[in-house]
Amino acid sequence: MYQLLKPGDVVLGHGTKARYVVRRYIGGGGQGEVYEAERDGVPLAVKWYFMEMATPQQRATLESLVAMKAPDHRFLWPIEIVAKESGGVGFGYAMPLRDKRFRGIVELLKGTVQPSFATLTTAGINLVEAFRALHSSGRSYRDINEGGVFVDFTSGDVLVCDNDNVYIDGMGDAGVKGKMKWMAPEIVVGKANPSSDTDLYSLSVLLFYMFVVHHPLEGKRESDIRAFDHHASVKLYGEDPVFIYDPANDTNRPVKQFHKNAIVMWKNYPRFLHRSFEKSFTEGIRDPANGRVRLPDWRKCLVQLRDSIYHCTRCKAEVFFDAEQFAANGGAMAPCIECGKVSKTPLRMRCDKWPGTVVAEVGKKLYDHHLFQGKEWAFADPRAEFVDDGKSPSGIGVRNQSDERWTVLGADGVVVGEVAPGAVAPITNDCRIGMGQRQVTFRL
Amino acid sequence: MPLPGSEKVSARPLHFIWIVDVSGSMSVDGKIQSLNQAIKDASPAMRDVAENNPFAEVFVRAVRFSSGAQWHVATPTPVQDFQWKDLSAEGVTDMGAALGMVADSLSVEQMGERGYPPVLVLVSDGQPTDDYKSGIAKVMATNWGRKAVRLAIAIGADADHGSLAAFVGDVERPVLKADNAESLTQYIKWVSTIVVQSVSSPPSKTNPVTEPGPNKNYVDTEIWDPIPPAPAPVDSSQIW
Repeated sequence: MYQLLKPGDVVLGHGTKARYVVRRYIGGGGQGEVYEAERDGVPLAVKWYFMEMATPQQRATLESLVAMKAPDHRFLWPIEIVAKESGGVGFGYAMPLRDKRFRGIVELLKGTVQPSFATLTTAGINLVEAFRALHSSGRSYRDINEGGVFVDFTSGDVLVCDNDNVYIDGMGDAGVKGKMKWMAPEIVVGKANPSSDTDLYSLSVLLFYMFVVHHPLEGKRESDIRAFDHHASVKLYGEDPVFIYDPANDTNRPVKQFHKNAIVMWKNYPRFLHRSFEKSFTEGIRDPANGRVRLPDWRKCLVQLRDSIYHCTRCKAEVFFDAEQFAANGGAMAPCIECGKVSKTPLRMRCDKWPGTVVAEVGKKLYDHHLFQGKEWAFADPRAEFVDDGKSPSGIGVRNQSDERWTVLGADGVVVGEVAPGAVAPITNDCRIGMGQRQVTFRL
Repeated sequence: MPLPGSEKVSARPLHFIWIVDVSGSMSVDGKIQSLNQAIKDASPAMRDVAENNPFAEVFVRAVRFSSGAQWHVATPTPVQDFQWKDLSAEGVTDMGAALGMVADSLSVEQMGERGYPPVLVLVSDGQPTDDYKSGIAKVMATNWGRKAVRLAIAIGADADHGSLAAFVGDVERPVLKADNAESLTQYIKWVSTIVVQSVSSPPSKTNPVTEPGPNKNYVDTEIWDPIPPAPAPVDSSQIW
């Protein structure tokens, strides 16, 4: 390691003059090195830039980041700029230490973690929400890549790091930013600077990597490349980008020998997720300003994806229910993607004004965003839980975990019963329950 | 069963070859010891770079040359397993022979058909004593040799910049001048980390073509070098 700083070195906070004592080297990247340090007994991190990266532009960016504060709790944000107590040129910044429960997306790509689909979709929703907070504050990330995104693969919580390139949307300094496979094609070919529109593209690439463990543009055109050099990258990711599953262009389909994940993993998912990816990498490439999937639509798609998860009754694999395919098959289940056998049809729930089908399985929960207009998309406070219920024809009941009574409606819409808080309602075919602001119906 | 069917994301090989001068002059003033130490010190950081890049599999080899040339590490070794055995120095400077051996190893049979551009790092402190130009020609006659990122580190005041620059073959990539142990350590680290990272994860240029004037770090032409600039040499009182 370069060891720009040594254990025992002291750096001072700009303005606060707080003393950060360097303890040990943690790691390095293209811009500088990160160290564990201590300030008043509290462990923190300090990033110190390589001399050629410690530019006035970087410093100005950092000053603005420190002043603006983090968009929300999902960002590991600079606390203050620091300089060596011993004097001299150069600078860095202090930030919180990343909690050990967060692991890099790199680990998902290397196959060293295998989260459940439930956790993965929750992480996807959290990432979308984090970027919504960032863009709402008038800033763009500009450099989304595998090195800056961390996930708690147990809970689906996320932490976005490497925020030193975040800047006011539309006002970028010139220079090299980002890695080509992550950047929007219009940036790769030099026609645009990073912005919140290009963040949308990079986020789509990130989501594709998370769910398919493969790059959306790496199909036959990638496998035909021998020496994967700069020119080849510019052509593949920028000049002539073709989605591997472009419905109108099959010249870049995945090649079995090299692109196994793209073939196997794509089949896991329902059509509505496919459509979001198709839009991102067809219309989203042709029309950067208006053709990309916007963050609220990603959120809706991913929550719907999470709601579609169930377990095959034959092999217990965690799979997805595709309501469109089910309807197209005349109400019959397709063979399980894992075991090839046909699972018992799961209990399905729909509610008015809510997109998609929620698969009701024991243990699954409903939240405010299912039951109330305009409510926060959070998974902390369930309002309903599906439980075992021997009295119910479906074997499943729904427990009222809210503070309000639910109403059970008969076929003619008349109230036939109530479900008090804490009580369990049996679920029959076509039964309707008024929960929160919604009417919820069930099908066996 | 989480993420059924998924395996590690697809990766390509990146071959890294040290081409090291172990002529008699390298034994003077601790140069070979500094070089051995620098490569060993850089290995953990090189492993880190590879560890954090799921899209590349880095393989390392090494050739030594003095009177003739031999493989020091002949088998492409995964960087996680690569261990540097100290070199000792004696003999003349048969750079051409070394480059000929490197050229032979860049065949498609040995390298495979698909990969990142190889990184070839030539380190020398003196004048070549054989036909280095035909060695360079042999490297450039291979597809992988032409596509390779070729870098050179000149150790000390007697290094022959002409031959090193001819090997690099790119005016935008100057020969790295290591006049002292600290600079050598820095350049060895830089080629092992920043260069490997840039080759396997090409950065994107963000200057829109409409902006006038060159970016201060890069030549503003259609073809530009994705390898970032090397750090400046380190000042030291102990000059070679």
